[in-house]
Amino acid sequence: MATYILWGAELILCASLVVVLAGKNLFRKFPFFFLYLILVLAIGLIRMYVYAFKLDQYFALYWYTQFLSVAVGHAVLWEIYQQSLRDYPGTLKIARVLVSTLFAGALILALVNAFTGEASALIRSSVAFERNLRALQGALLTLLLALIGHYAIPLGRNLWGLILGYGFYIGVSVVTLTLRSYLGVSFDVWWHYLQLSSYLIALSIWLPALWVYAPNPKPDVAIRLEEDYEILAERTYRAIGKARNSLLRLLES
Amino acid sequence: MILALILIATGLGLVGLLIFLSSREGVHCSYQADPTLVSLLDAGGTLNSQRLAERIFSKADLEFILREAPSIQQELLRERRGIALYWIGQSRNSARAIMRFHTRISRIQTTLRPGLEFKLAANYYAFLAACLLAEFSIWLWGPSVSRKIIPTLMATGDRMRLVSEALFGRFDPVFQEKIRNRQAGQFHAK
Repeated sequence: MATYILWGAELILCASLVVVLAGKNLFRKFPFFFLYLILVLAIGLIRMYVYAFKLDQYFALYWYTQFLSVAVGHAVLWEIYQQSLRDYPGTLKIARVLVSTLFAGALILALVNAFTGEASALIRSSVAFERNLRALQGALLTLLLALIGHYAIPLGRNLWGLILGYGFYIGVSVVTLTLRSYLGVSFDVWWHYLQLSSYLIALSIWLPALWVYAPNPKPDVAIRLEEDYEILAERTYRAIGKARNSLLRLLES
Repeated sequence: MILALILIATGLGLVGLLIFLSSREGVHCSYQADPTLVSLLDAGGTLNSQRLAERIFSKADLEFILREAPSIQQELLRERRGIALYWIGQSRNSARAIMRFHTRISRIQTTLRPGLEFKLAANYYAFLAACLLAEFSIWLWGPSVSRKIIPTLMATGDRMRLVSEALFGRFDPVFQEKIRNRQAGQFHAK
């Protein structure tokens, strides 16, 4: 019964969000997120029907649709990156380097696993596979949040709400999927309710955040220091570097 | 098991970072109040307080009190500790303001060099850690014993001041005036 209540609430909130985005033309601003919501809504309805009337087919359906949802989730992440850093070419440059490094690392790890024969074990276990995909999303989002914090990038209410809700859902998913893959079926009931509840919380964050259109604030100053960037950075670096070195010497002495 | 711990840390770290950024003011608001640039104008004054720092951490007053009025020694040490912690907090805030100013410029620069930015960030966070260490040391042992760490912080303060001056020397005078006006406006508003 509790499952149906959570499920129903999730579908109502998701449908409301789709209506809000469509009614306020916000789907033009966040097209991938809108597509993602429609997909989640459709998947939710299909899953509910299968769960109620064809339970034996439910688990196969769950994993196929879950991977589809994760794949579209990567497109939502790309949209979040693109919207957050659009007006900040310097930070975008750093983000490209970091994301490329992260993907290169993930690729190397996958190749190493393939040669050592661990990849097949990962593919065999759907939970572990989804966990790895969610962990990659979590790492990408953490990277973006670190850049937003370090470069003090201001975000509009819509985008911040989107990041907050999606980040919360991914964070909880990584933890619960990890626990599920290590604790096994004994954690199944907890995992099921935690997944449903965390998505319900994410939807509850998204709905008020996207209720009214609030664009990202534009940088209000155009500082023309293009030719001076290197000098500026070198000086700041030298100042902090010397301080750090002298402190290290002090600690070592 | 190690992989599980790493993954759980990743998930919890992400949720923690979201909560931290949500609690910080200004993540999702505009530039109307710009304390970073305003505090940078004050940074020179704070960073230039080398003489003040030398006095706070010197042993001369403590020796004098020990000689003339040993009964108030504890009171002096307690007050010195408070002042020393306040001074480090000010130095850290000034360094933070300069770094924020740097990031505010670099984030819109197409000529930005990621390698240099990574090194700069690493050094800056190491400095913040040093401040934390000094604060802990003062809180634990008092300013007189901790003075070994303080010269390093003072040297950093001087360097930060030099950077601050260099930045403002290169700055567009019209924009500099705009910041000062904004600062004056904020004072009037108060």
